Amino acid sequence: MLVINRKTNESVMIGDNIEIIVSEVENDRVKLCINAPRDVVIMRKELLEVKEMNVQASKTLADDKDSNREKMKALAEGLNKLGGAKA
Amino acid sequence: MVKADHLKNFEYSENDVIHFEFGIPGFEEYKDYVIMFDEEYPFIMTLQSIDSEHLSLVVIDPYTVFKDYSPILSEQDKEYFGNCKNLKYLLVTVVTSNISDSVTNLKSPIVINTETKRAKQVFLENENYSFRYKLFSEN
Repeated sequence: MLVINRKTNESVMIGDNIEIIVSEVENDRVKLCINAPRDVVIMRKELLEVKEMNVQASKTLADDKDSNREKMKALAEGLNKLGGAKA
Repeated sequence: MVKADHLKNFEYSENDVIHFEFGIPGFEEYKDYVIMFDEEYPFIMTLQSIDSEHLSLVVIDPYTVFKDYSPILSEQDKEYFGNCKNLKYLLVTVVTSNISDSVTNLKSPIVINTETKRAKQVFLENENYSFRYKLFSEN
């Protein structure tokens, strides 16, 4: 991992055609301006995490009704044991 | 809400349909869903796409497991929902074959305005909520 310090209005280049500019710094928030070719996908990291989890969650239920029911039952039993205890 | 036959062959009315203006991350093109439940386990539901029969996610009612779930919405999300009094929260849950490995997403709940039927998967402002919270282990 490369660690670089930048001041406001300074940039980082990634490869030849991706530029990240530190546009504004306020308290613990940083505003970044990113120049990149259209085919480069840019997203907040947490969005990728949620995407991956949603895709994984969508695979829980298959076409087999009985195995779905089994899973739901097992989950319900597990949750019942927890019974609202956690915060 | 719609009764599940886990899953196929369900009927629903227009009134049951919830609309995600932005879709959900990973499935942005699918905007309309119904929530299905099995009477036997009312706190475990399925978010079922009405456009793609294979697209369904298991969701749980957070208050079943977390009595003190206190979601904090961003200003932007509050605007999306308008009236924040009728908001229902559901947590996307990955149910693994070994049930004890199951995780639920506390940080990015599905939020539904039960009156307008507008829905969105949001990012909460809460700092200590996990994307992948292990339901069945000591945290």
